[in-house]
Amino acid sequence: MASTASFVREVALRVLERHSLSLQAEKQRILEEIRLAKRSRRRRERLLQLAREKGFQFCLGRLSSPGMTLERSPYYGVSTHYDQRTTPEHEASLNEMLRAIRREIRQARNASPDPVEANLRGLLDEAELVSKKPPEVRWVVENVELQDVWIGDLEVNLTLDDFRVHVWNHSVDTDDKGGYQHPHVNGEGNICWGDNETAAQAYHHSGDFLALKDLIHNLLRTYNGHSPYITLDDWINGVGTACYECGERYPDDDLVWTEDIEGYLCESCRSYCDRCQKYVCYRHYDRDFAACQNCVEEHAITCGGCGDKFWENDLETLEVAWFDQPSAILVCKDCFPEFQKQEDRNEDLHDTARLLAPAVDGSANGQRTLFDGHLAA
Amino acid sequence: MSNKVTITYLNRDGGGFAERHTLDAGTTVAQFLEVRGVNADNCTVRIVRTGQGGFTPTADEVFQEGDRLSCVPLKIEGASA
Repeated sequence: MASTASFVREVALRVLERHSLSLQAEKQRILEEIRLAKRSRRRRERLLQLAREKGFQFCLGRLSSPGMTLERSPYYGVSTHYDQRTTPEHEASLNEMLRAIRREIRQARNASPDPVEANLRGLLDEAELVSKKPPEVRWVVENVELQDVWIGDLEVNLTLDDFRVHVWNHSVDTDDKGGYQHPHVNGEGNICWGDNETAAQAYHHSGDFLALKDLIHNLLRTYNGHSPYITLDDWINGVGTACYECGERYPDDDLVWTEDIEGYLCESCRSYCDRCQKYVCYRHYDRDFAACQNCVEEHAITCGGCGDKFWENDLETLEVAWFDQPSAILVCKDCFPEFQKQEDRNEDLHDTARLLAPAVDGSANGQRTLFDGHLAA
Repeated sequence: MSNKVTITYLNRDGGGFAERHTLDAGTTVAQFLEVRGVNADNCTVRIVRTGQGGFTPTADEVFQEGDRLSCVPLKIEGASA
C-alpha cells in the first residue's frame, strides 16, 4: 500500500514538473512569435516610409491595406503579399496568449500534486498497472460496436510519462482488415485523433488521466464515416486482394502478380526463381534446384551415370564408342571420373581386339586361326 | 466556513484546457452545466475529488473545494490521418 502511495506521489510530481516545462516551452514559442511579428511590423513601416519619401504612389496604394507588405522572390521579383504577422489583431492575439500562459504558469507553480494524485488513484482503480518504469497502464474497452458492426474488445495502453497511447484489438483477426485495429486506429496501434489531439494532449500534460480515458473510450465508440482508415463495409468484408492460392486477403503492396498462375500471390504462397527471375506459386517451385519447375524441365538433364538430374551446365560430355560408332553421353561431375576410367579400359580392349583381329580373322588370307584345328571341327 | 468553492472545469470546447471557476457553495453539477448549455446526456461527466478519486456524479452532486469536473462528449470523431 505504502509502495503504491509513493509511486502515485512520484508520478504526480513528475507530471507537474513536465506540465510546468511544457508551459515554459509554450511561453518561449509565443515570445518568439511576438518577436517575429514585431520585426515584420517594423519592416512594413520602413517600406511605407520609403514609399512616401520617394513618392512611389503605386507601392503606397498596395501597402495601404492592413497586413500588406512587400516580398522579394527570386522568381517573381518584388511583389506584394498579405502577412498576418503585421496586423494589430495578430499582435493582440499573441499578447492574450502570453497573458494566459503566464497565468497558467503561475497556477502551475503553486499547484498541489493532490488533483493529479486523485486522478492517478482513480485511474489505477479502473486500469491495470503494466509497468512502473516507465509508468504504463492498460484497460479494455469491451464490446465495441460501431453502427451495429462488431469491432471487438480493445486493449488500451497508456504511458503516463509521455503522451503515448496504443490500442490493440484482441477479438478479431485484423489481417484481412489491412492490419487496422479499429476504423480509427492504424496497424501500429496509433489512434488518429481527428480534431481531438490537442484536447487529449492537454489532458495528459495536466495529469487529467481520467478525462483522457473518457475521451479515448468515447472516441473508440464513435464512427466517423468521412475519414476512417477502413470503412465498416471493408471491416466486414475484408480489405485488399485475395491471394490466388490461399485466399487470404492482403494489402495490394504485399501481393505480387505471377504469370505462372495468372493471379496474385502472397509472400507465403510465392517463391522467386533466380534463374528466370520470376515469382511462381510455391507448388511450382523445386526446392532441390532452387528454381521453378519450368526452368528445371527446360534446363535440367539426367546424368547418364547415376540417373539424377543436374543443370545442363553442370554435366560433362564424355565421348564413347557405341556399337563402334562414336557417341557422347552427359554425366555429372561425380560420375565423370568413373566413366572416364571405364572408357579408357574400353579403349584398351579395343586396342587389344584390333591387335588380335588378324589372328582371329586370318583365314581369309590363308593363315591359321586360333579356332582352326580340332576345335573348329 | 467560506461560502465560495473553486473548481477546475475541463472545457469540452476549449481543446481540453482547464478553467478555474469560483462558485457559490452548494452549487450542483446540474446547475453548473445548465448555465454553460451542456447537456449531460451527451457527455461523460466525471468529478475527480482529492481523497476520493474519480466518480460519475449525480445531477444534484454539490461541488466541493478543489473538484475537477470533466465533460467529454459521447460522440468524438476520430479520423484516418
